[in-house]
Amino acid sequence: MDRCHTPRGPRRSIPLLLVAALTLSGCAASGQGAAAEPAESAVNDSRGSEVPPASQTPGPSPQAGTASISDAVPVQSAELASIEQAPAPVRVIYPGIDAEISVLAHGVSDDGQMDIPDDAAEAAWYQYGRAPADGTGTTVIAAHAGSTHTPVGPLYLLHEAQPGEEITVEDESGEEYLYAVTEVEQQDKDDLDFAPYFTRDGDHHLVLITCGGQWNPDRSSYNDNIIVTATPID
Amino acid sequence: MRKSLSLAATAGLGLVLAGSAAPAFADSHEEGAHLSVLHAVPDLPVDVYVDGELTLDDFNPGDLAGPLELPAGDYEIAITAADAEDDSDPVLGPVSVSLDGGMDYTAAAHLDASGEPTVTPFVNDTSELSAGDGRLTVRHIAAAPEVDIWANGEVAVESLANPDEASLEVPASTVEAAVSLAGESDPVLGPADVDVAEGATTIVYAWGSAEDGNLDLATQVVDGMHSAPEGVPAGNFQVTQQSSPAAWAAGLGILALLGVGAAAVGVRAKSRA
Repeated sequence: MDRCHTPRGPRRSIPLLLVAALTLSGCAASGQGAAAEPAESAVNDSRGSEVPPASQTPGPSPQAGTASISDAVPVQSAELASIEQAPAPVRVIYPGIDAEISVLAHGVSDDGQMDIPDDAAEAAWYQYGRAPADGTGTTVIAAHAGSTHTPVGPLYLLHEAQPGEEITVEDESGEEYLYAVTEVEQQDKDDLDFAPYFTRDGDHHLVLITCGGQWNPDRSSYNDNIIVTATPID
Repeated sequence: MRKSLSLAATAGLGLVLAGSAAPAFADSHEEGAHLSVLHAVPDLPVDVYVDGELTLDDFNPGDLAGPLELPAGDYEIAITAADAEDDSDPVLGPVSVSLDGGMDYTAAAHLDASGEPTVTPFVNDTSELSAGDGRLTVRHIAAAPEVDIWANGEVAVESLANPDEASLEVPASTVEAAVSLAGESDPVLGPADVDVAEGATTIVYAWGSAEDGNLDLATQVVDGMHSAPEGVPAGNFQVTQQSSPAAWAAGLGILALLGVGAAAVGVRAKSRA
């Protein structure tokens, strides 16, 4: 244990300090919490701000001379484990179009399209995509513009969305995420590539989708998708 | 000894490459290759050297390392006892592997059917999946005879031999998986719940030794094969003039004019107009 306190002494040359730092992280890792705390501040004192504190040193590495790329290779147990899911979004509140809609996790229908609740009063969150808590990729939420049960759905007025308007998404943990509209698009369903709206990497966005445009009696559906993209705001 | 092992591994890689359905990566020469390493030799902590450099220190059975992104090319992998000073006296290898850009590999150190340690470089199928689907790949790398793989109570793969693999594309879900000796129904492994993730390849390894009674399952997930749904059918009901908010607001407006509407209703109608 005494070795943990040696850095309190007079300043030494850099190589010696490096050894001291490694020794310190070894002490901390051995569970001697009480000793590790003062030792850590001693490192900060003697080395200034150029060097991160010992607690940030990745994994104790006893041989200072053999640093290799092995530090960078993630190793995990390959044991069977459940996939951890981020909390699902449960509600969207969009005051700009006077909309509040509950959200259910949905996947894909047999026809390969996104599965959406029959009732326009409920929206689907694409459960294979990202949740707000993931902080990456897109969270896609879609609802019918209207339905037999709910002739005018809460998202019917999505085509009137304006950039800058705020949207709140609440997830099942009770956390609220605030977004601002950045883009409002009306796209012909026929030649619409959905890939850019269903991403799992890159910047996080909220994507709200419903239908609009011209009613097409031949296919009993609207010709267009209304797509509103929003970015997180603090 | 070394030479024959190296040749065997290279031949194995060739077979695996030929056997996998040509993933569409012809135009990805610039990309690096991804390499993961699975340690599936029971009771043998090791060090792993790639081209003479210590890459994995004290790598334990049942652990998965990676993925490492490496430039496409040929690599030599040597596996030593965990206390070795360098790679001059490997317990396994060195084996040569050729990694192509844009491809995803898992080098598994495991037992062959007769219980001898070996290395098999597998190519992970990263071809795109339909929205809603996941790929389940099963690999037999245990010192055991041929096995049947069961999914949800039915035989999904018959007579899989070490070191072969089989893949299924299924709707993303939790699959109850079990392994029996070929032609038998009593499981030697499982049943166990395996999450087949959407847009990803979930690889299940049967490893260990039947004789030593330490058969086990290991998993690896390689993701990024998702695709978007084919459409978002969000409007199969026509919102008519009569039922549109604007018309409703107009109606309220008339009511207000008639002196029936309260002030609050008027405000609401205005916000909807």
